Amino acid sequence: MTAVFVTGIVSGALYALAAMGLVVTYRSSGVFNFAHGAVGMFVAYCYWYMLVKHGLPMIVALPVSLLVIAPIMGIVLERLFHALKEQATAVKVVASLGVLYFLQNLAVVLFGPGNKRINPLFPAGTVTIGDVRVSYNQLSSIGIVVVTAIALTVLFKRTRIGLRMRAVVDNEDLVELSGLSADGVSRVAWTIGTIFAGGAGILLATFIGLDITTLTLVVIAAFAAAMFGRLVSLPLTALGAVLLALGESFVSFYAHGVLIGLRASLSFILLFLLLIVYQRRLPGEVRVGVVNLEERIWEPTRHAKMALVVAGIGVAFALPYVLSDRRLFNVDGVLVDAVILVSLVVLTGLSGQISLATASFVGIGAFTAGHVAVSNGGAFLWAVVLAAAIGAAVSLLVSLPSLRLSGLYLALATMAFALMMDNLIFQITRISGGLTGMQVPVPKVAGIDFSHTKPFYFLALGFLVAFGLFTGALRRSRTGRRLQALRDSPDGLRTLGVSLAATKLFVFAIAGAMASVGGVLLGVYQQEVGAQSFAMLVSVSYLVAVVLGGIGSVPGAVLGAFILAFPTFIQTSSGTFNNYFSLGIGLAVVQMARFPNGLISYYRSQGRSIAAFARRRREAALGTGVAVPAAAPEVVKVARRG
Amino acid sequence: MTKDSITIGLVGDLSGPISDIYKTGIDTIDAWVKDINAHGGIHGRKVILKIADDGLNPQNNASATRTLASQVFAFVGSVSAVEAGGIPFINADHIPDIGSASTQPRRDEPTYAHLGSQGTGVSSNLAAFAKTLGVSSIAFAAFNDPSAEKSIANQVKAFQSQGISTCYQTVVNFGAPDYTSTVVAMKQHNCDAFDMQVEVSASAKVQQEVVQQNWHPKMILDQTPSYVDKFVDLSGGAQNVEGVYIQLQNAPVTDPLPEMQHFISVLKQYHPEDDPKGLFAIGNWADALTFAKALDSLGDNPTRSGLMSALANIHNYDAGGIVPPDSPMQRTVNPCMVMVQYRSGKAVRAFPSSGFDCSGTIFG
Repeated sequence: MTAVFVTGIVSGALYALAAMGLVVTYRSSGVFNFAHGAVGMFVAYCYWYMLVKHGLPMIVALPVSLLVIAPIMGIVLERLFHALKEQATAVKVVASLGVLYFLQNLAVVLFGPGNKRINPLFPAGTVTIGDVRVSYNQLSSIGIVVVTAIALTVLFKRTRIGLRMRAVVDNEDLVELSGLSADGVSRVAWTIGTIFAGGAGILLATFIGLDITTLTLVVIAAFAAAMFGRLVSLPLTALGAVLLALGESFVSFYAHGVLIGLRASLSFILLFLLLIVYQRRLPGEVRVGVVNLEERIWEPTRHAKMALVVAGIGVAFALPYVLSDRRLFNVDGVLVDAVILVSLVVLTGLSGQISLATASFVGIGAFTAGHVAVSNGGAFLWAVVLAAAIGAAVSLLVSLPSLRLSGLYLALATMAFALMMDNLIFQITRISGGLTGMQVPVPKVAGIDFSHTKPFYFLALGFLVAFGLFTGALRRSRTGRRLQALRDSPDGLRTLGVSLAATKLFVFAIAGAMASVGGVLLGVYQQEVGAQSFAMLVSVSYLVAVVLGGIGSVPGAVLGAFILAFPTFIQTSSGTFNNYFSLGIGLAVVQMARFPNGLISYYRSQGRSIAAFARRRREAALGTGVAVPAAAPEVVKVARRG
Repeated sequence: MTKDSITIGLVGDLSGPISDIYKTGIDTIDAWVKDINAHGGIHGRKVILKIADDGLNPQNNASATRTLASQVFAFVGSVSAVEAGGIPFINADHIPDIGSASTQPRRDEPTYAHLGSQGTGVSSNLAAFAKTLGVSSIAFAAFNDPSAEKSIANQVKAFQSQGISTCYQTVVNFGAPDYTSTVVAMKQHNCDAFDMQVEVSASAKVQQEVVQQNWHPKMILDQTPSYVDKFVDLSGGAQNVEGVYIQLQNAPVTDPLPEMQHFISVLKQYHPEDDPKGLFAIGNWADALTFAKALDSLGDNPTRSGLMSALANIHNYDAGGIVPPDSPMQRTVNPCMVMVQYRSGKAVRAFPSSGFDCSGTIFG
């Protein structure tokens, strides 16, 4: 048993290092930074680059990394999140995921893929505790965790700057009224956060090696520890980290049979349970801004609307006869992704509920299609109905215990659920086909073979149009207005006597069903499905794509799907294009401060500027002399139908 | 295919954070094509290689495979963890697909061929080798993935057949920060050997922990991913990997075989940055030779079906001794192996003294 405790504490120190940085950033900036691990990874790579690639001594490389590079990153991040402070939590979550994506791809481009080694910071040697030999490096990390937990607690509670940092998070206006610069305090807070992330990144890299994904994964595993401290208490976070590691250590030593697999999922199960247990006592989310996701893109006249519909139908029917088979196959992929992303338009765009588990529901649909064996039309329809029912039921099961969660905490709960699906459910051979994956036979109805690109195009288009019309009808309905109220003013909804719980359960069930139906289509499109297609990070890319496209509308979802599938249109013989494309996606996401409602909104504002410019030119030519402002202020219309 | 050229395709993961795993295998095919063209091509035809990056995305893999399917005579050396995406299109057009499969659906393609072991089955010869070292109990650790799970279930049976019990079993997360508890638990369960079925950086972390815990099991067994110089570096130097065994299903690069020397020199000429021991490198070279051998036998007018027949007629081919004798269309486990051992930072042949050990019973 001694060994369980000693190894638990040793591993716990590493989880604590990862988790405490999250808490420091959250306490000091009010932002839960999903990119925290990526920041640490990037600073550690810079350290490695100076130390190993350029042979600089540690005494130079370490201070440059922690006191120059990390603070610069802190200031850049502070500026980014400052610009987003009035935005909805969904936008901030996606921006932080965008930073993660950007830094990971920047590291690939700058430093190349693969693992690198960083030598321990502390001298070699071990001490024996019980049966376990503990290295000086491990002991030092335990010491650093203890000292840091105490020092940062004192900083936050007993020092003036700590008080100011907390004040900025709680009420920035009051801080400004007292004559202090909230921006300055926020900058200091972010700098402390990134220095801590960098230090933890370098120290962790000496244990776990340096590679682009590992540190991010460790930080995700450490979310449970941060939640144990309710994102506030550093000592409790450190304790949570040790308890998590003790649990893993206990499973390591004593689990048998099917319980062996529990070790890989313990942190996600713990995170999910903690969120449910704590849901009434979690700190209130800060700066939950006005949701502005349902911006009307265009107000067409009746005639314009009619012309648009006719043109749309014409293009939709002409496309399969104009495009080559190869291109049509790519377009089919866009339609499948668009069907999936419309579920996020309903869940997040319309109702303001964030989900990082969309891919899990897509997987449910795809595997259902595989099990039902979609070989004829009847079976296909049966697969669609069954997938929708299972998707809705599982979605209810997830949302039921987390009814009081919203915003960030809901994102974390759905993420934990997605990771449990990855690591537990989709690993079960009977469900996912395990090692071999699963074949999804293509339906043939009345002699039409849907393995061909043209019939499949019309099938997928049919689903997209149906989902689009359903979303539009839902938006206009009484239920739709309740969903918008759930997003914009849950308290208002409650005061009207509407059940928040029922409204939330309804939208989760609908979105789960829609994503699962999208999964059936994906299965038919790919014909082979495996668990890897439905990992949690795929859900992240779904959310990033739909937010980039424009989460408030079905056209935004289609644009998001096009962004997602764009690399399939460009076939390259080296990895350079995909590396830079991914880097560009990350950069676009972090630029969301400029176009938080997606590219559709961005192009609309660009269109307005061009129209204003053309009008000025026209009026100047006509000599009307009507002054038009050089840059017309953007008037954001938020749809408030009914 | 024209009378002067033949086009082959390769879909692989060339971008993203784990693309280095596949790089050497892909570069090997590129180097082979350049070398064979420098020597006049195959049957007078120049070989044109079309490579497509799938970015580790099944949808990209499907699109890239489908695109290349209309342009290539055969796929040679495709390597990707998301290869399942492209399988339906290979099957639909009956395109020969010669290479190392990562997944069972690809192994199940009617047109799939590979010179080497296929599937998760194992031979008891590894267990028999362990027995010669005095091993009586063994621990297994693997990533949480069904392939590793099945492979370990088969290993447990194979070791049991040699009277070696399983003392401990665990799964580990990709990216786990610490392996102290894994190593201490194996030590406390009095295991005198362990088998790690993880990637190279996790193996390196385990190895460092074994040294730290001053544990000296009779056999430390790693898998092919650790047969690279990087393993020594990531483990913290030669002293930390001393004595570690690796089971290979191809000849070690140190074998004085003309074909092995040729492969090493060609790879060094066109991709000097690559480690010839890298994952998929020797396997892809052997598969490329198999493809050339089959194609060469078809004369002036090769067809895809002709190529498949020619591949089916190849038996006991060993690509100049760099892989054990095998039939590329035979979908069975090849029991042959070589054990190498790290000594002073170098992986040297430990068993058998030459050639391959092909004894043993197959499990799974």
